[in-house]
Amino acid sequence: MKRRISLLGTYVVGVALAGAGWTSTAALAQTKPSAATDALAQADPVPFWWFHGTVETGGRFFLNNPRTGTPSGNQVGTTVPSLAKYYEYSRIAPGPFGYVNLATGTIDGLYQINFAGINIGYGDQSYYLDASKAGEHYVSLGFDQSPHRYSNTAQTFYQGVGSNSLTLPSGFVKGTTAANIVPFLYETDIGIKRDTASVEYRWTPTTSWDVKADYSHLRRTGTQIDGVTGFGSSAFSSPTQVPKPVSDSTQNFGLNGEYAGTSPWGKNFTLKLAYNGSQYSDDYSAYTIQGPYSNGTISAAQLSLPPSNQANAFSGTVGADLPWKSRYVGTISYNMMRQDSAFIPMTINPAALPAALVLPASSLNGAINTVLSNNVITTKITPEFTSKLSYRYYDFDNNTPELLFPRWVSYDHVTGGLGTESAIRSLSISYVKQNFGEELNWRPTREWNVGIGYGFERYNWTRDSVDVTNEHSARFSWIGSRLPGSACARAATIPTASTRPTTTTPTSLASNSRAAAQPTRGSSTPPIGR
Amino acid sequence: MKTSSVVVVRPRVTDGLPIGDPNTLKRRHPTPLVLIATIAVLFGAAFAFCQSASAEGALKVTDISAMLRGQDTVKTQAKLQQSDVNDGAFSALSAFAQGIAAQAPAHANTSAAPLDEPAFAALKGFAERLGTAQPESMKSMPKVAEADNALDALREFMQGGSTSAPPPAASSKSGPVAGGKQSRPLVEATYVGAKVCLTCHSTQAEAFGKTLMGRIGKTQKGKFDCENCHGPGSAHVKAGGGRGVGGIISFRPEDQARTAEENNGVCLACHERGDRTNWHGSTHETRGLMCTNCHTVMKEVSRKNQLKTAFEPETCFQCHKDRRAQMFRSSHMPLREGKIVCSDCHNPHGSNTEALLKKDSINDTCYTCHAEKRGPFLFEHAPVRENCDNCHEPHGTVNENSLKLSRPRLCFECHQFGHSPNAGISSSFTMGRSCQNCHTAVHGSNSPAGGAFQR
Repeated sequence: MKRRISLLGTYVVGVALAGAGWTSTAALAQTKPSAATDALAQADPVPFWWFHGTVETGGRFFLNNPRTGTPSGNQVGTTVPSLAKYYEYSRIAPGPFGYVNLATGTIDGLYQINFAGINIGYGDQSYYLDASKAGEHYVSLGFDQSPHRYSNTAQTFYQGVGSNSLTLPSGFVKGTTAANIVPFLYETDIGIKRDTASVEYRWTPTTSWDVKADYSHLRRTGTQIDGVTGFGSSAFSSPTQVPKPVSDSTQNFGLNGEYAGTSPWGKNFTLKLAYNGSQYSDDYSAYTIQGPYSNGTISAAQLSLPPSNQANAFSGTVGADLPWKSRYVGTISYNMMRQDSAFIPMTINPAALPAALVLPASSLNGAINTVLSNNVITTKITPEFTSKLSYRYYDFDNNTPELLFPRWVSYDHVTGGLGTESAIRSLSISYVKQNFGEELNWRPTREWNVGIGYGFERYNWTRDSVDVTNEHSARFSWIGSRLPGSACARAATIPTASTRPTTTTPTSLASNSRAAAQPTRGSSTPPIGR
Repeated sequence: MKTSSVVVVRPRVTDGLPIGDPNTLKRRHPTPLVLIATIAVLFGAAFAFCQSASAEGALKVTDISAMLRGQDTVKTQAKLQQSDVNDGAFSALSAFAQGIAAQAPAHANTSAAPLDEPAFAALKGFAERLGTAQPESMKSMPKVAEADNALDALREFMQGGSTSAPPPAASSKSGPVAGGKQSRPLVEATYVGAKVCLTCHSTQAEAFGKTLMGRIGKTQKGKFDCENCHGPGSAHVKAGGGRGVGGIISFRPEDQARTAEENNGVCLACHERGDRTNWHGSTHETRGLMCTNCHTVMKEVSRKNQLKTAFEPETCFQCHKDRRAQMFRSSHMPLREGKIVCSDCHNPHGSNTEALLKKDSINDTCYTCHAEKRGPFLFEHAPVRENCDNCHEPHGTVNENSLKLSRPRLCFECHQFGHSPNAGISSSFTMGRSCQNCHTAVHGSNSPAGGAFQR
């Protein structure tokens, strides 16, 4: 019995101890995760940066590759359809491709960086990287490739496509028969590729100041269709289409700053000053083409290419709220365009270089200055009735020297001065364009609108076939504001024959006259919808 | 809770203001009963204050004192924005303060004000300062009381007033909710703070936090609080919420309660600069467009400029269906391919040039990418120099190179005396590039032999 009691006691004590142990284990278990959590929290604090991104990759191959312009030998006369429009601004090539979009930033939103790659591996791929410190600094970098294909079925026998010298292939026998040409034809793409790198920066040190700067570099390479004539027996015979080389760069850059504050009369006021520059550089000033005709009098012709040039523009804009619920915005801008590239020779045909063809200058020293002054005053006469009064002055002042060429060569085929054209003078056309307008608008509700407007436009031309044009216009808009009508009357003052500038160009071209195109003296046009 | 309010003001008493310091009070009322009562009130007030001050970023007595002294105003105002608006006492005081502040002259000098009751004067002074403790963007919002149009301004002027005169008390109690039209019934509302808004609008706030404005709002507390743009929300809250309820500004284009000008005025309070300088009088402004017709503020959809669509042209094509159709013509610039966008050439907020162009002229716009056409050239082609659009339609055509007409018809628009205009299709004058088979440099030639644009 004692043993039973002892056993029972032992059992109870054992159970009690087991329970205590179990309890203590549970208690320990309850405390351990807490400690572990604390330790974990200490070891891994809340991350300060977040990350997000997507990456998509793949590959492409063709079971039946559509024609993409790959040279495929002699296909003259075939009717293979062109896919130039399909591939006009893109190029889907076999191989890998991908898309990437990555972003990171701080949790407080202060910093953020975004990166993206689009159409990676294709001919129209682009990338950008945006980084910012919110409210203060913004930087954006970009790189873009944009093809522009005009043709993928063009065929030529010229060698050196893309360079400034198009030559006949070795073994080519001059002539226009298929037997001469076909053996040497091959396909080539006609198109250009634009590679653009850019960077933009914006700085907002305070809420009142805003500063921006930007720079971009555009590189163009490839070919475009061009035409050359004079290879044959006469000037107007045998025009030939050739691939013109395109190899140039355009750099655009700008810097502007803006201040926004309060005017002396206690209203909002902004002042913005800006500079924008542009530099165009052409790798070639001209290119030469060997003549393929057997009856031609010259071995080669020369065509000019766009000259390198520059532009610099300065502008200032003022926007100010005025008393009586009016606002004035005025802009004045001054732009200088310059071009002083060396002239190419009158002709590359030595036989066509008589003494009279000495150039009057080695370069143009071209200079065009433009001045823009735009002034707008808006007034809120009543909450529904507003007025806009505007005046715009745009002066296109062409200061390029006018050069007189006593004799000139219209085509390289001429020989020994025979056939050279008589005197020609370049014209530096200038004009001043002025616009004045007043618009009254009544908008009783959001959907209903009635407006009337009057506009006056005046052109003053210099060295052109028209001296002055005046145009009065009236505008009406009514219900729904989507059915406006307008009427205008234009009058032109045409200079007399004695005062009309002359270029002494061939008769067929001298009539490039807006006087002939715009003989409207006091005519009017019926209201037209737009 | 009124007791705590009084105590909040009391520290001002210790700041040497005209009503004297506590010692002075103690000497005036030295009886034990008063002392005990004072101590009890102080302890009670201190306890109540500690309850509210325990919240992070809450307003402290020193802050209020500093503000009353005109010190560290910015810091205190920032804290005011962060303070726990759920504190009923503070909310009541804040509302009361805003009400008083709105009645006060713009530049009232409270210390010099001839007040009969010193305690009331102190409270009123504090209230005025607190009422002006609003973010700058809030202050610059459209004010109801100011003359809303030129006629009203003229009327005030004739009555000897000024457009900048303080508003009438009756209308000044309302915030920008009332909008800019006088005919609109005013809604009495006060600011409740962003935390109250988040009770229901946490989803929108989270999305907004990922936008640029939202990011700036995170780092510059109070700059982009909800009510800065949506107006004071107390009436909205009391009414239980709902789109446009309680005078809250929804900015939705379909919300007919407010005009486009009223809604735009909220945005322009900060954004009437930069590209938006020419907004007033611009085509889109006179058409009655709202900022939110094109932009979405509360979520990030586009890479830049908070547009409604990820692809910018789709935003423009909401209205400009004709341009969308042109873009799909066979000859077009790479707009639909995403290489250029409308805003590369146009500034939809207004500009100095026709068609909302960004540059000074159409040609200057084209020269941005086509600088080889800029010249000056030795031989200029007059219509080219005048306007690229004389021959091209940049939005797309069915002719090569986005020409308005096919060649040679385009050239015949001016050159009626060209070579054999009636030549057959096999003629070199009409086939291929037609006139440009020979006159290839129609944009101008810098060759001494380019007088006919053939070199």
